[in-house]
Amino acid sequence: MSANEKHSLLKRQIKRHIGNLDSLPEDWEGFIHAIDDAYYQFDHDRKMLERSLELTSQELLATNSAIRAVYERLIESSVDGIFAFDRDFRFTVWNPEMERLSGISRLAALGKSCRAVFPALDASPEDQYFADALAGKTILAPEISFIACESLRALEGSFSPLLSETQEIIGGLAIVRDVTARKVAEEETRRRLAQLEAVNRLSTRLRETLTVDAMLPIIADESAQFLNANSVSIWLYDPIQDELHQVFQRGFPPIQTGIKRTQGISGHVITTGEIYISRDFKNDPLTLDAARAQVPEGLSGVCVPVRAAHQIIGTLFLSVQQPREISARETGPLLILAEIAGNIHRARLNSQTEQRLERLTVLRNIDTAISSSLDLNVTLNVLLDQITGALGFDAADVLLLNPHTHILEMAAGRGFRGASLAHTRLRLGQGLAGRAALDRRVLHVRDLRDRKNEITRQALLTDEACVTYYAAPLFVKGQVKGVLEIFRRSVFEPDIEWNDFLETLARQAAIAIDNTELFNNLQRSNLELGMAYDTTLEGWSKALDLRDKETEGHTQRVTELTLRLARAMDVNAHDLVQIRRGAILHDIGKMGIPDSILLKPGSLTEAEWNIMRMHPQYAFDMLSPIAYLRPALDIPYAHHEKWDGTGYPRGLKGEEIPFAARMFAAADIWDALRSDRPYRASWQPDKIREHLRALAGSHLDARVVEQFLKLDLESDEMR
Amino acid sequence: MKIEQARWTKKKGWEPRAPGGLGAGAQLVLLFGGTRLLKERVELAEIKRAYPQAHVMGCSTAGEIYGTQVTDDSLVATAIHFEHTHVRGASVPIANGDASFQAGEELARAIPHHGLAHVFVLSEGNVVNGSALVRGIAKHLPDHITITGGLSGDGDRFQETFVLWDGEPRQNSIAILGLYSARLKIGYASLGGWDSFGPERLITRARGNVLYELDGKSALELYKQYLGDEAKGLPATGLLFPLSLRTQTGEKGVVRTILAINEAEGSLTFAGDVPEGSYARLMKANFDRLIDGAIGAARTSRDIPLFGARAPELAILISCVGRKLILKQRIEEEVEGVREVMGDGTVLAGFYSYGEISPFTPNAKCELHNQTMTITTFSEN
Repeated sequence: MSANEKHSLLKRQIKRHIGNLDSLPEDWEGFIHAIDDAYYQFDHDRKMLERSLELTSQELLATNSAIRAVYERLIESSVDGIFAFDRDFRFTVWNPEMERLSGISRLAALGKSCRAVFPALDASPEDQYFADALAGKTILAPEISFIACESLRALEGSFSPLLSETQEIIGGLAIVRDVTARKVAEEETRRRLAQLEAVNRLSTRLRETLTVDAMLPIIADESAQFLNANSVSIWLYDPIQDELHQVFQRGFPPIQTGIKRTQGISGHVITTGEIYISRDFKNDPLTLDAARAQVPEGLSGVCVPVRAAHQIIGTLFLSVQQPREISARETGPLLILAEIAGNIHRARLNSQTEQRLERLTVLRNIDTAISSSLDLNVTLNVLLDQITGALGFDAADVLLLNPHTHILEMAAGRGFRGASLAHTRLRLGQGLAGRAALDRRVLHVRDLRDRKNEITRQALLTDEACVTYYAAPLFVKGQVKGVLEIFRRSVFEPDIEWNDFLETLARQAAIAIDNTELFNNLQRSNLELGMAYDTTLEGWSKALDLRDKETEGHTQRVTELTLRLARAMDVNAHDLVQIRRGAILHDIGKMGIPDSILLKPGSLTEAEWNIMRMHPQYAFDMLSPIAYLRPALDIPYAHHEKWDGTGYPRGLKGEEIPFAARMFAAADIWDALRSDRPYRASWQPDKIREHLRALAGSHLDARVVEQFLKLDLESDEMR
Repeated sequence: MKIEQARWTKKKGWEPRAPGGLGAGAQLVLLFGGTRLLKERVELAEIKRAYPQAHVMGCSTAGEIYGTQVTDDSLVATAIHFEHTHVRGASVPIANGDASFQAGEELARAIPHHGLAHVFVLSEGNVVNGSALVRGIAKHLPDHITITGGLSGDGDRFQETFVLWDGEPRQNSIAILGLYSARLKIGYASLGGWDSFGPERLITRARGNVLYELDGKSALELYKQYLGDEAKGLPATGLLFPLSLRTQTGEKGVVRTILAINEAEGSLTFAGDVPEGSYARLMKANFDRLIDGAIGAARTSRDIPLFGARAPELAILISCVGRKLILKQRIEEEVEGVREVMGDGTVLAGFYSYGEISPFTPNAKCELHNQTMTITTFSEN
């Protein structure tokens, strides 16, 4: 509102009806002002309204366009058929997908009544959907049949009411969906499931069969059941005769003669590796003329290759009564069934091979044990480990026959729960093991519980709960050595190769026992011989001691002392044996010294000494031809050599002197000085120690002296 | 019930006569006035002297109702002597809009509940979230107790509002009045008379009573577009286009007006909640319907069976400032419409507010309204 200027309409009105503005009475001013105000307010309000109207129109138009765009996109490009109808059942919406589904154009449908467009509706229960939608219900229609579309098309849909802004029902809306693809997929899924079931059933049943013969009817049954076939036959290829033979038939005529692998329908299937569908077996051009007469009339069917790995091993025929024909789609699973059958057969062969390999490995392991050890315990343990480990038995033992008492005694056992069987003692012929040994043949009891009365060791049943039992006699070179017993706590079903294998196992065990016995005998002979030698040596030494009374007991003492020193200086056991022998024989050379010199009461002349000093050389000359004593020569030959090279007989120096001789020299001096001699009394230990220390580095090896003095020498004498 | 009403203007002083006829007999004085008059406590001591036993409850307004007249910058004092009713009241401060619910709870707990017949509330008008305030009060009151009242005003300035409960008029304050009686009959109604127009818009961003976006676009920009030159008069000119809300739960017809704007945030603060996910439409005034709305509210508040043939003795009219901005010179037509319904025997008091508190109709849930004429009627028998 302008403060100065009155509203133009008011000005005109005043001018027309009253006259001059300036001539208005003063008390009218408030009144005129209010009217002016009202005019301006009215203008303002109207402008606001117009402005609002304009803006709103623009907004609504934009919104409307946007909604229309979405609507058109939704309706027009929908993958579902969409149609709407008003309360008079006349179509108001008809989208392109509806045109496609029904073959009825939008122009032909819009404005027409439902019944006019869909004549089939009258007879259809789906008629009700239209009325239901107008009654406010929403209906899911799993199947819509009134739309007469192409054959085999499956439609589903929904009907719902169309509401106005005021929630009034102004019509109905239907969405129709082509679900053909989904139905087909569902059907396919069902079919695959059936296949899987058949495959599963077949493989389960085949796993329980042991032979190809037992497999054939199962394969035939399952295949026939799958195709709902009347008759079935199986042909297998025989590589030796290079022919196919009918190995199974049901419903087909039996045919005895073989056919060449390139002939007939089978030949075709084997050559191509593909399924062959025949509309009429009897009149099929591939049917062998020779067989044609035997083929019944009115059979159509299929011939399927039976494979094992990549090889076709035969064919499977299935037939149905005409006019039914087997379609290619139905035959897919047959290939799988046939292949499974072939592969299971092959797998069984494989598992036999594996078993054989395993048994060979067991034999080889036992063999290795026998050849690498002569300890019977070790060999038997390997044998029993293999039986309870690789062969999967629960327990096993070896009973050895005592050749003197003729009693079978437990030598080794494995896998037993208790210790009661460790004391097994059976006479030949007594109990199951005794009988096996006596009869010299494998004894098998499938279930020990059935033969309670014959069992002498009840612990087998009670403590050990054994079920299956084998006793294999161990004999070699006609002699029974013992019995191998094998136990299982469940029933064991052996294959045909098992008995042969068990016998081989037993033979191996027998050989091991025999080997060990031979070795033990040999070792015993060796030991006896060695002992005889040593006794002889001691005899010689004693003879010398007897001759040289002065050294009574000296040999024995100095031998012990040298051995103690050698042990303290970490000499190995083998060398200790030689040191012992050497020490015993240290003065053996003196045998060659004449009594006149050896036993001479007074002192020796230089010439006599020269002879005396010959005794190490005599020892060498005497003993070196004896191979057995050659390693023991160090002491007899070199025990008078001195560290500084002043000794005899060779004047060896330092470490040229054999170690054994150096040790012996120290021990010899100690024992000599500790003993009384006709010409002097024995020395006190401390004096001897001092003496030895003095000799270290000149006569004696200082390292040896040091070690020698560490020995507890006096207490040893006390003993 | 005895009622005495007087109006004070600078030009004419008190009319028809200075207050005080009821003297110590008055238990309650309702005082509605211009912001400046309340702020400066003009005539306040006079009124208290005139009614020494009365509680004085009041607030600043955007226009005072005195009979069928609507004036600005005046004081209207309505003194009441109840014969079968007694009153209790309290006031609490409110720091900001977020504290509205809590303030409501505090108020409800500040008065006794035994014998309570009705609750009347006057609130700060610029920052309060009236919806939250009403929920806070209602939470602690017995279910059958009705709540009416309004948000105080500040002309068309939207700057400062005052609320009075005894003592001094205060900013950021809310007052509650409890009426205790078995013989007090209360009627109430709220009607708008605005038309929704234009497209329905989704509230895509809002928090409490602050609105940021409609259909993903700035709400403030939308208002500016519609207001054109009037946009510079925001927030007052926002009252020309209230929002009509349709909530997701199907609740409809709640009207919201703008209390404040925030240019920096591009947001609009409304007198009540504007929940995200609700649909909003702009509304525009329709003169005839505004007036019809007031008349309709008057009928509803009067025509309750309890009153029988008798007209109510007192009607408190709380009408929205938006109506006044629209109706301008014709504002008194809506008060006259109410008078025609009520008849001459009813004393009309009240004010133009920044928000109205009342159920739409008897037995409905109490709510905060905007742009309505809300009438509470009282009678004792």
